Amino acid sequence: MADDTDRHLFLVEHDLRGLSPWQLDAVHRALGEAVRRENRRGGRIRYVQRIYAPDEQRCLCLFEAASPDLVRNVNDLAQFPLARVMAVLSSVPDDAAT
Amino acid sequence: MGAGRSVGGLRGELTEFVGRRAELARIREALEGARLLTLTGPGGIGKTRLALQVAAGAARVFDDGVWLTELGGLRDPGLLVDEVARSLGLSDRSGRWAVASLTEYLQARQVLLVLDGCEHLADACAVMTDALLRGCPGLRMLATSRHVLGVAGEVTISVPPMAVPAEGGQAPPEDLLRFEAVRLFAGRGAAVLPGFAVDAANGAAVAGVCRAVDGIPLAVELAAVRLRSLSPGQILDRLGSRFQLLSGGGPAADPHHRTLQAALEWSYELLADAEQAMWRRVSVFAGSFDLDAAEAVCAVGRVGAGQVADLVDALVAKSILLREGRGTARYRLLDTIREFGLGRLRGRGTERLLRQRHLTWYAALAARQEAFGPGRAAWIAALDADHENLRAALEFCLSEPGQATAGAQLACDLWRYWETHGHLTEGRRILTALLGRLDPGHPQRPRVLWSAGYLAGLHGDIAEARALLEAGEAEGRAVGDLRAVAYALTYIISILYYLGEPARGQAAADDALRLHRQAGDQIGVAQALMAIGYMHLFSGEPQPATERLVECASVCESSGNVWYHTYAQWGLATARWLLGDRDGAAEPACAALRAMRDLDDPIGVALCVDTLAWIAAGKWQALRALTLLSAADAAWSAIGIGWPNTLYEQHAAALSTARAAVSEGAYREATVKGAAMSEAEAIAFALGESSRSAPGPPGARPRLTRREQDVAALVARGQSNSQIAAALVISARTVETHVQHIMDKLGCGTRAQIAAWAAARPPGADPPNIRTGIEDSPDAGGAVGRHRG
Repeated sequence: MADDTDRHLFLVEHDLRGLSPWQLDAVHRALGEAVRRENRRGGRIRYVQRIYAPDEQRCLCLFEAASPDLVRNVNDLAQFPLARVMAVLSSVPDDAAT
Repeated sequence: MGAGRSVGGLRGELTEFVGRRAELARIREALEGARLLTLTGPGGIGKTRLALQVAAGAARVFDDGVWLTELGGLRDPGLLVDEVARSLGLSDRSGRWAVASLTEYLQARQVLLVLDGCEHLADACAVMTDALLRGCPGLRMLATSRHVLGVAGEVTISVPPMAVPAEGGQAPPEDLLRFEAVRLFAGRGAAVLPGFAVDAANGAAVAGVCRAVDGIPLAVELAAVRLRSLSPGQILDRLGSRFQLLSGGGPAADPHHRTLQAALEWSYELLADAEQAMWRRVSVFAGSFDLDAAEAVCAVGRVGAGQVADLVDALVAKSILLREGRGTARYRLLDTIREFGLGRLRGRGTERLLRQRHLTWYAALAARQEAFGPGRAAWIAALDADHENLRAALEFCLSEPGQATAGAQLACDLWRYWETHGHLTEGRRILTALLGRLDPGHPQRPRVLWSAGYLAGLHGDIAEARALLEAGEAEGRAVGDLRAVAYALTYIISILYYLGEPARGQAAADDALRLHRQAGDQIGVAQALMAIGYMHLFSGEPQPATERLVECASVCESSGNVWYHTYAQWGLATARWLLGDRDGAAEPACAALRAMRDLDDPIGVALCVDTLAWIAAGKWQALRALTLLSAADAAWSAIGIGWPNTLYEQHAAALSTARAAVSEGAYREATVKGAAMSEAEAIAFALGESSRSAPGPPGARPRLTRREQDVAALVARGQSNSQIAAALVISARTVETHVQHIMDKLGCGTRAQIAAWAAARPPGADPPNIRTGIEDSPDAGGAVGRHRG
C-alpha cells in the first residue's frame, strides 16, 4: 500500500435504488475487481469499507488511494461513471475505547 | 416492444470470407462449452471477421438473437455498459447502476453478445463481463481482443495467421490454392484485376508474397490490391527487401505485429503524396464518415476540396478505406490502419490542426439545432451516424487547452440528442467535465449548468438536478444571461413539484414564462407552458392542464415547433381521458402517435401507446388493451423510466379491467403478442392500421414516410437533389438524408432503383406534396421504428 505521506481517504456515495440483494453483492464484487485491476496496472488503491443504508438505498464506499483519479478510475471500471469522489478525513473519538 | 430475435448490428461484409475452416470449427466447438470465448491476436490477424462469421452462423441457436457491440469508437471505460445496451436497442434512462439494468434485461434471454475490439477497454470489459455472466445464465459472450481479458472461466483462442506454402519447390497452382493465404490473395487479386488467377507462371511469386507477410490476412489483402499496377513478382521483389531488413532484429515485439507494420509502411510508401496525406488526415475520424466531412476536414494545404473525392476513391481502391452504407456512402478505417495513419500524422505535427477542423465540422452539424421542426428525425439520425465523431470532438475539447468554450458550445447543442437517444450518462459526464474547465463567471457556465441539471432530472438524480439548476439560475443572473435563467427556471418547475414545493414551482413557472416572453423565445414559452401543463396533469388536475397545453399547442403551431406540439397533443389526449371524455381522447392520442413515429421519439411512442391502451380498456376492447399495455410495458422497460404515480394508476386500472374481461389463456396470448411487437408493429396495431400497411417481419415490403414518398417520386422523375429541394422547399442536405433513408429502407444502391420502385407502385398512390413544401400530418405509413424486430 501507499506510504503514509501519500495515503488519502476518499468517500464515494452510490445510489443503489431498485437493486436486489444479489445485485448489491454484484456491485461490491465489481468494485473489488476494479480495485484489483487498478492495482495490477500500477495504481495504489484499497477498498477500505462500505456502509449501506437500506432505507435510503445508498452506499458509502471508502477508498484509500494516492489520488482521487485512481478512485474515479475504479468507479469507471465498475460502471459508476457519475460517482462523486470526496476527499475525507477519518478520526476516532478520543473516548472511543471507553 | 422488445428487441426480439435478431442478428443485431452485424455488418454485411463487403468482401468474401476466405478459408479458416479449422479456426471456425474450433471456435464453434469452444463456444458450445464456454460462457466467454475470447479471440486474441494482433491487429490485422482476422479476429473480427472470424467472430462475425461465427456469430452470423449462430443466430439460429440463440432464441433472443446475436448482438454485436463494436468498441473501437468508445474511449471512455465508464460508458461501456451504456454502449452495450445501446447495441441491444436499449436506452436506459433510469439512472440505476447500468449493469443491473442490463442484467435484468438479459437474465431470462438466450443471447450471444459479441464484443469487438476490447483491448483498450480490457479491464472495464472484464469487470462488466464477469457481472453479466454471473447474472444471466442464458448469455454467452464472444470477445475479440489483442490480449486476454482475464475473467474466471474465460476460454481463449489465439487466432493464427493463415496457412502459407513452405519455401522451396515449385508447387502446382492447385496445390498452392489449398493454402488459405494464397486463396485470399487470389480472391482479392481477381477483384482488382479481373481475370487474375494463380497459375504456373506466377504461383511461386504469389506463394512468396504470402510467406513474406506471414499469412497475416490484412497484409495479404494490402499486397493483393497492388496487382492493379504490379505483377506478383514485382510485389515480391519490393516486399522482399523490406522484410529482410525487418527480420534482422529490433524490438522484441510480436513478430506478426512487426510484419503487419512493415506491410502498412510498404503500402503507405507506394501511395502518391496526396494519397498519403489523405490517409493521415482521415485517421482523425472515429467510426465512419461521409464525403462532405472528408472535404471539410481534410482539404487543407496542397489538397484541395475538389481532390478529396478522387483521393478517397483511391484509398478505397487500395483497401485503406472501407466503403459502407447503401445510401450516401460512408467510409471507415480498420483500427490498425487508423492507428498507423495517426502515428504518421503525429510525426508531422499536424494532428492538432486536423482535430480542430474535425471539431469545427461536427460543431456545425450539432449547431443546426433541428430538434423542434420537421427536420428533427433526419437531424437526430445524422448525429447518430456520427456519434463516434461527436465523442471524438468532445474528447479533443476536454484534452486540449483552450478548447473548453468550444466544447461547452458543442455539448449544449447536443443535449437534445443525448436526451432523445438516452445517452444521459454520457451527456452528464461530459457536461460535468466541462464545468470543471470553465472558470466561475465564464459566460457559458449557466447554459452548461442548466443542461446538466435537466439531464440529471431525467436520470432521477433529483438532488443533483436541483443543485445544478439553482446554480444555473444564480450564475445566469450574475453574468446577465437571462435566457439561461429562464431555462434553469423552466426545468426546475417539475423538480419543485416532485419535491412537494408547488408554490415555489408555480413561482418558477411564472418567472420562466415572463423571461421567455420578454426574450421572444417561442421554444422557451412552449417548454414552460408544457412543463406547467404536465405538472397539473401528473397532479391529477386535468382542467388546468388542458388550459396550459392548449396554449402550448397554439404557440407551437405559430412557431413551427412540431416536437413540442406533439407532446402537447398527447397531454391533451390524456387530460381528456382524465376528464372522462373517452371518445374525445382517442383522436389526439392517435395524431400524437403518428407524429411521434415520424419524429423517432421512443418515449413519446410509449406514452401514446399506453394512453391508447387505457382508451381501449374503457371501450371494453380487452384484448386490444392487453396487447397495447404489454407493448407499452416492454417499451418502458427498454427506456428504463416509469410513469408518474397518477398516470400509473390509469395503466394499472386498464390492466385490471381488461384482464377481468378475458380468460387466462386469452390474457396470456395478448400479453405475449404485445411484448413481442417491434416498436413499428406496436404503433401500427395501436393505430388500427391494416396488416398490409403495418411494418411486418423481415422481408416485408418497407414503408416510406409521406415526405420520403414525395422525394422518391421526384427522384423517379430524374430530378437532382437541388431540384427536389427547390420543389419541396427544404434544404438539399435534407433531401440527401431522405434519399439515404429511402435507399436504406428499400435496399437500393442507386437512384435508378428508387425510380424503378416508384414506377412499380400501384396507381393512385399518394402524389407528391410539392405545393407548399410544408410537412403535413404524417400519414399512417410512417417510418419504420428503430427498434429491431
